[in-house]
Amino acid sequence: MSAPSPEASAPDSGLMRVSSDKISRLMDLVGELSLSVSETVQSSDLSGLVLTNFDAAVHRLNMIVREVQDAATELRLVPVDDVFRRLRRMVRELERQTGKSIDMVIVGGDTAIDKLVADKLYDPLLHVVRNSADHGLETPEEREKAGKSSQGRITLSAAQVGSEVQIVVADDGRGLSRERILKKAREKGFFGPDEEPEPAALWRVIFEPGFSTAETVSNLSGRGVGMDVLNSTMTALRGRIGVDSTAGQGTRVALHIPVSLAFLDCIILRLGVQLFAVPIDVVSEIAKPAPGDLLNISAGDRSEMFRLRGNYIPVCRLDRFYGDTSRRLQGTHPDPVLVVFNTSSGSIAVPVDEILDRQQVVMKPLIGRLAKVRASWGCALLGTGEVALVLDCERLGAGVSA
Amino acid sequence: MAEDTSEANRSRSAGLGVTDTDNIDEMYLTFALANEEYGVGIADVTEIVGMQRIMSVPDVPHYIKGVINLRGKVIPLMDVRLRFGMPERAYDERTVVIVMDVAEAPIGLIVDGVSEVLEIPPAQVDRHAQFGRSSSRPVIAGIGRVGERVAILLDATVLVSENDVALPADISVAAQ
Repeated sequence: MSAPSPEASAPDSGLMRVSSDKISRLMDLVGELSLSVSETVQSSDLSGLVLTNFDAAVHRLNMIVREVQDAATELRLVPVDDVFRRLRRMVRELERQTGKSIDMVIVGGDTAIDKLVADKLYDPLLHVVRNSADHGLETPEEREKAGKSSQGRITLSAAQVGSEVQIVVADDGRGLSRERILKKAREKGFFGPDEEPEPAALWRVIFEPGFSTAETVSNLSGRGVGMDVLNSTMTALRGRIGVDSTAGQGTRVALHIPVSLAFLDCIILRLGVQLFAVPIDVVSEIAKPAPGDLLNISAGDRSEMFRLRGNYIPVCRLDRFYGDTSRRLQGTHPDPVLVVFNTSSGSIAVPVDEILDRQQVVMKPLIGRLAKVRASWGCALLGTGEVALVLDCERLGAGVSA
Repeated sequence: MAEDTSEANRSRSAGLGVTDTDNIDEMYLTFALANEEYGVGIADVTEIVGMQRIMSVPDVPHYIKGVINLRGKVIPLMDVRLRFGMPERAYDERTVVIVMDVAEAPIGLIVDGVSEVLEIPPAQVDRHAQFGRSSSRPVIAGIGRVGERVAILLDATVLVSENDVALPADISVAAQ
């Protein structure tokens, strides 16, 4: 039997149930606290004063605030094992349905992840695991013929890498069929008839909406919706998907997800009077264009390209993207900086006036009248009390290439 | 319960439910826009704050001036003058923000100044529902009378929605 869930375990284990509302309230208060502290410390009343002891106290205060912030964030972290255990039960069910014998190995179940993330992980992971069990693993007879043990293996592992949690579903099955996927991808117009994509680029198409190669649609998978669920959940969680496969040896699907949805490591940019924040991991570089590096293309849809080491990257001007008429997004700096973002639709260069800072920001969802703001993850509360819009570079990139 | 259609319309509005006998639903916070007096149901109002530093946001209509950070909450601000197509006016020390929760989302209304909280029983509210002259739900829930004073009562849900709510010309006449 699996171990009882933490909530259900004996009271002497020192665990207590706390409603997530209370934790959200605490997080809000911690945010307010750190804002008030920086307001106090940066108060204009203090300017010109010599404050030796005060500065030391401020330093200590800031350290404590940061620790309180970390501790509050930790409250929302739960072990990913809860999700894994549910999947283990599902795999037993799959064994029954497919007649395959599956050895499920779990590694790193104690990896901590935001409860909000954990709650959303089950469905997409279920689809990946189902796919492995249904299409990846061969029948016992096929496996024995291929010289493998008759029992297939699915390894579910989690590990924290920096501010990301990496969840990997690996099977030792037949691997993805390059031939079949490429044929299907060409039929669906993802690649030209003579194009020979890199494996990583090819495997990625299996997550494209409507793409499914299962020759027979089983009741388990193959309807092409599973991967869509995975895709949309990963977008909502600001995660990335990677696939790797070796014919005859198996397939490995890796999900990279930020540990916490509440805080985000961002670079803060300014354009006109507007502040923007972008998650640090999408920024590939920051460049100052030399004269002649920007190329205007009047033909077609009036685009602009930036030459970076011989490559031309499409430029996305935010004032144009947002159709800004108030001139609030008008660049004010004589020589703007170009921030180059990595997106799945290729790199894009976004001109901004200046790059202000790199900081951990508190994320707030866009609700009510702000819900319709395009290409944004939400609002970021900065340490200064200012609010920046967190750019979703994927959607910016898609908007540029569209 | 016997209701005409306008009655049915109004009782859908959150917090302004006229069928509710709770006193708070007959209380209105009144505020000034130019020389007109408006009112919103107090039940939706969470607080009133002075003007703060507004940070602009892209991709919103011109009457959404931006957001403020109110103790860690990001609240979009709507300039109600601009919302009604009235001339813009520089903010001064009387300008205030009425923070409301409408349809489970916060919104701040920038108004020229708040007046007071009035109790206006339904009997003293004229509900013509004709002001909008269109099929969509009107932004004006009714005209409230308290003695000699008149307040134009707004339907906050419609006010906050994306519908066009330019006031018809005869409203200022009705408000006299």
